[in-house]
Order: sequence, then structure tokens, then C-alpha cells
Amino acid sequence: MNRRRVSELLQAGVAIGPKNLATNSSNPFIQPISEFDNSDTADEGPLPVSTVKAEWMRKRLEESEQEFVMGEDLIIFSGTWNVDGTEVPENFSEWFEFGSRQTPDIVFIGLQEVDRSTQAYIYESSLKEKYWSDAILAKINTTYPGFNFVKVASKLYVGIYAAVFIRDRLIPVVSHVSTSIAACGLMGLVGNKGAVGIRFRVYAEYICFISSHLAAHVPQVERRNQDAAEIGRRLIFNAAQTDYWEELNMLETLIRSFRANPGPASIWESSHLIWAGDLNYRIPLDSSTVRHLSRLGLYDELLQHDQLNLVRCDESSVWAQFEEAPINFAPTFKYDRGTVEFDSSEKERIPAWCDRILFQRDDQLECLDYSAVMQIKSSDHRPVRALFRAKFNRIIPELFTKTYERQLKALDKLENELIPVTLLQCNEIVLETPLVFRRAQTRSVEILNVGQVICQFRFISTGPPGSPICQPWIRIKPIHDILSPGESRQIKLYFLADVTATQKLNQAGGNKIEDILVIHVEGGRDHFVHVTGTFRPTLFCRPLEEICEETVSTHQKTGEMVRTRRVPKPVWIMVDFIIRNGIKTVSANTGCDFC
Amino acid sequence: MSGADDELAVIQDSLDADEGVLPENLKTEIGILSVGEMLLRFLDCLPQPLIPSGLYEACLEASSDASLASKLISLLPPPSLTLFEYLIAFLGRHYLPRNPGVHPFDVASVFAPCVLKPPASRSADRPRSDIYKAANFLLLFLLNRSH
Repeated sequence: MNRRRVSELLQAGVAIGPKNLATNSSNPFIQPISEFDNSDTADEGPLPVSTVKAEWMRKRLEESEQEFVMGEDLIIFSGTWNVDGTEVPENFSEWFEFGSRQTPDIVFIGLQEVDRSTQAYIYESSLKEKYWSDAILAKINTTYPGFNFVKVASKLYVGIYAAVFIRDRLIPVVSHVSTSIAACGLMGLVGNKGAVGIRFRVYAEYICFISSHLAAHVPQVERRNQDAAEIGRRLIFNAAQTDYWEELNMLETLIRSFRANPGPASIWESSHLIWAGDLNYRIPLDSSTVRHLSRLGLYDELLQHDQLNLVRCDESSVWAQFEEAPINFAPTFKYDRGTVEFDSSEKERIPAWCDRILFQRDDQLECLDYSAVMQIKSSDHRPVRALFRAKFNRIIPELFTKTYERQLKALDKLENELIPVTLLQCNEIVLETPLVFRRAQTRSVEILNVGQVICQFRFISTGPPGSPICQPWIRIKPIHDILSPGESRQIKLYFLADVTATQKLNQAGGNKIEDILVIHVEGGRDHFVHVTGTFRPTLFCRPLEEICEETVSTHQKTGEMVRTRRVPKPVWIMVDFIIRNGIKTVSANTGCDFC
Repeated sequence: MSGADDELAVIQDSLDADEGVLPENLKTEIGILSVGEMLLRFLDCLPQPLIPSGLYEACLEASSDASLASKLISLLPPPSLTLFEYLIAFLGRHYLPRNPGVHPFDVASVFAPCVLKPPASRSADRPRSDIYKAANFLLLFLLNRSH
């Protein structure tokens, strides 16, 4: 699937991401433990090495991370809004208009009470999900034209909605997308409380967004704390499918596999965690005081009594790990719809900052802006938004390759220590004196086992199987042996031109002799011994035709051509010698030239 | 017959160097024997035996028939024939007459295995009877000093 096609599909609103988006198939009246499904395990994409080696490589790469990563800042828009079952308002785009702020790279939207009907408690409403997703995407793209935002994932579960959108330039670097839900309280009895999460990978790091709705009413603070704790424990993301949106080459696959952790994962297993929602924490003061101080803009006074701020001071609470930017906006609950007036019904709800965006303490995440959008009045809650700058490590392919190759070399070295390693004391033998018929020369070479395991070596031929391991003028002893670690062997090489070898050498002509001996180490590498030398030619071992000269002369008397054949020179020299010296009676006959 | 190894080396060196004449210091009893051994070696390491191995069986059969033996020898290719006749002349007309204590059969027994060999396909071990016949074949020529 090429990139252009993918972009087209995304623009058309075709959802991308994992094929097995978590679905709620369990009975809503019975508390689901989680959507964690045991049967799927992540396909990390193949590493071209065995599991053990892969593990070793993985750890080394993680340790050397600094060598090949570079931080890249991304702007994240997060929003949360309890829509109270209403429709998309006319001025919806104002939520996204940050004025002169930078264009976000990632947009996260959490909605609560998307669907108030009783059916929402039992069935998922995919229509509502699409309705809101389409509206949000459209508004984002009109607010930030030219950046071609696409939806990464969305999820609606009993009124709690979450969705993530990214600008097109991030498409190639976003992967491992998964969603999850966690329900709190018994469905239909306590209310539609819980959380929806979206987790995905950007470059080499994971980010997790949560849209949640916690228990309502002032006294229910403990309930809310418990809800939050439950979400922290039970919001588990399925193993994400690693169907990438593009074809990946080997290097890209390796890079994507780095710190992959595609799941199953909890919310805590991400580099960045943003938790937004209608958290329902209240100000336990009387309504008129709160309204009064709110209207005056004296938020800090009130926030000192905010239940969430107080709970965050409790070490044991899940919120203790979270931070929040300073609140400089009026409480976002509860308003008369369509107005800027606090709840004027007989219930006279105490204004509260129910709608919050928190983030796990993280020195690579900074909140740039935190505000409420008072102009959007369609619901009894006001939308809240936060703008973040988050650093994501991205892998530089060239540097990754360098480190990867370096580690691979180290792995090779390690592997080498487990295979037979031998050292041959010399690879060149030069016979300084010529090889003479029937006159042996000897050399020896030492082979040493420098590895950790027993090794076996043998001389092998360079030709087809069964052919000799060396030239006929070489004899080797031993031609095979076994060495324990640390043991060595002196291999004797005898160089001897015997009758057969000399016949062959004479036939071959010239006087250069050469051979390459190959020592094969079982499971290890081969050694080579290059032998060079010269052979002293001799008239011995030659065919008579070669060494008997023929002379032609004219017969003194007849004038005929007479062919004279001599006997081989060595023969008449020797015979001559014997005749002259070995025979007691000295004869004048020199014994040469037989006609 | 046997010569000291050093002397054999000296002879080899001299012959290979084409010096034309063997060194003087070989003119000892042992030296002569060494030369003799080298002569045997020369004949022994010819790629084809002096008497072609194709004639081996026939020669053994002719070991008591002088005229048949002569006919067989006349079949030798020229270089072999020349050398054969040369050796016979040397042994028959020079060596044996000057060394009356040496029995011709002994000389024949020493030279026969070098000049008359079975084809390579035959088993390496020659039966004693064959060696005996081969010696007798050669003896025919040594006793008949003129061709």
C-alpha cells in the first residue's frame, strides 16, 4: 500500500490502526475485569537472529540509545468536555483556536456523556462515535488548514469518547496503536463511569491518553479515588498489531522494533501520559461562596480546597504522580445550557473544576497553555483544553545502523568464543634449497587451539572429494587430529620427490613447485599453508626417448645417413666410471658410443 | 650391492649438474658400489621398464630359449634396444671378465628386477619363480657375449 493511497484513505475517514480494536463484548451489568485479551501476542516483526541473540542485541541497543536518538518536540493539543448528550455546537471550532499558538502535531479529544440514553449502557454506539470523530476532524482541518490531519484511533464506550488525530507529516512515524477501556462501578446502577485509553508510538516512544468519567457528587471523593486507582490498574492495552501503513525495509523494521513494547501494556508503560476527563472532583464549600469567588476570578483561594489538589498530596493516591498546569479559568461546571450562568436550578450545584487535564510527572513534557472555552455553551460543562510540548526520541537511521553493526560485531566476537578457534603458526613455507630426487626436506607447522572448545582439524583437498590433499612430493603427518583447548600439535611436512613424483615433475617441466595445503577445522575456519620451492631437474625418472640423443652422420665408406643413438648420459658416465675405476684391469676402451 | 647415502647424493648431484665425470673421491671400493647402485636406480626409475612390460610374460616364457629371447629383444623400441645392448656389453664384456669371482647369475639377478618388470596391473609381489625366470632371461644374453 503506497503512501499516497494511505493518505487518501485517511482523508476519507477510513480508520487506520490495529485491526483488532478492543471491543466490549461482556455483560455491562457485570464488571468486566478488563479488555485484556490473552490470545494475541504482538508480532514484533522479525529480527534476523535467533531469540537469544535478539535479546542480547535488544539490551545492548537500549543501553546505547544515546548514540542514535535525537529528541524531537511535538505540540499536543488535549481537550476534555462533558457534552451532556448534546450535539456538535455551531462554534465548535473555537475549542481548537488557540490564537497565535503553534499548530499542534497531535490532537487528543476526550468527551464524556456523549450518549445519555439507557441503550448506551448496553451497546456501543458507533454512529455517535463517527458523528463526533467526523465533526472534530473537520474542525481541526479548518482551523489548521494545510496540515491534513487524520484520525489515528477513536473509541466510544458507554458515553466516554476518546480520539487522537495527527497531522500528515507524522503518519510515517506513528505506529503500534491500541485502545482500551476500563469500567468502574456496576453498569447501570452507579452510572457510566470509567475510562477510555488510546496508546500509540511516535518515533521511538509511546504516549498514552486517557479520557475518563469518575463518580459524581461532592461526597464521593473516595469513590473517585478508587475509580482512578482502578483505571490505573485495569486500563490495559492489547498487544498492538504491527501492520504498518507502509512497506518497511529491514532497517525500518529494526528501528520500529527498538523499545517496541507493543503490549499488553498498562497506562504506566509510556514515555508520556495525559489523563483528562470529567474527574468530578469538587470544592466542598458552600455554593454561594464558590460562585462569588469564581465571579471575582479568585480561583487560587478556591483551588486550595479542590479535592483533586488535596488528593494529589496523598502519596498513596494514583494522582500523586500527576501534575497539572495552574488553573486560570473559572470552574467548568455546572452551567445553564447556552448561558454563562451557573446552575440556576433548585439543585444549585456548587461550581467545580470537574473537567481536568493532568499529566504524569515527566521532564520531557511541558504544559504551555491550560484554559477553558467559556464561549462553547451547548453543554452544562465547559470544554477544557491544554497545549503541551513533548519530546519524543527519534532514531537516526544512519546512527542506528552504526550502533547496530557495532553491537553485531560484538555479538559475533562473543559467538566466536564458543566456536573452535585455532591458530596456525605459519602460513608460508618456502623451500630454500631445491627439492632433489629422493632427497627429503622437512618442515613443521604448529597448530594451536586457542578457543574454548575441543576442536578437530584435518587436511582437505581443494579438488573434488576423493582427490589428494596435496602434491605427490608432500607427505603430512598427522593429516587429522583432535586438540583440547590450549593444546597444540606440531604437524610434520615431508617434502620428497620420489620416483612417481619425480616422473610427474619431470613431465610437468619447469622447476617451480607449489602447493596450497588446506587445514579444515570442524565448525571453525580453514587455514591455508602456501608451499613454494624449486625442483632440481634430473635425468632420472625420464622416458628414454627424452634422454637418448640421436645424431645423424654420414657413414665414412658408404655415404649413407647413419643414425646414432647414444645411451643416456648418466648411464655412460657411471658405466665409464666403473670400467675405469672398478675393474682391476684398466682398459683402453672407454665404453662409450655403441654403434 | 649398497653404497653409503652420502655418496649416492654426491653421485646424484654430479649427474644432475651434468659435470661429465664423477668426482675423484668416489674411486673407492664403496664408491664403486655406490655408482653401481645408482646405475641400478636409474634403470629402476624409468617410467617404462627397459624391457617393455608388455613383453614381460613372453620373456619369462623364453627364459630358456636363447633364439626366442633374441627375437623378443629385437622388438624393443630403438632407445631401449640401444641401452639394453649397451648394458649387456658392459656387464658381459667388461664387468664379468674383470671380476671372475662374480657369478654371472648373481649379476643377472641384480639387474633383472630393474629391467624386466610386470605391468603395473599385476600384483606387486612377484613369485620367486618369476624372479628366477627373469634372471635366467638376462643370463642368456650375458653368456652370449656377441649379438
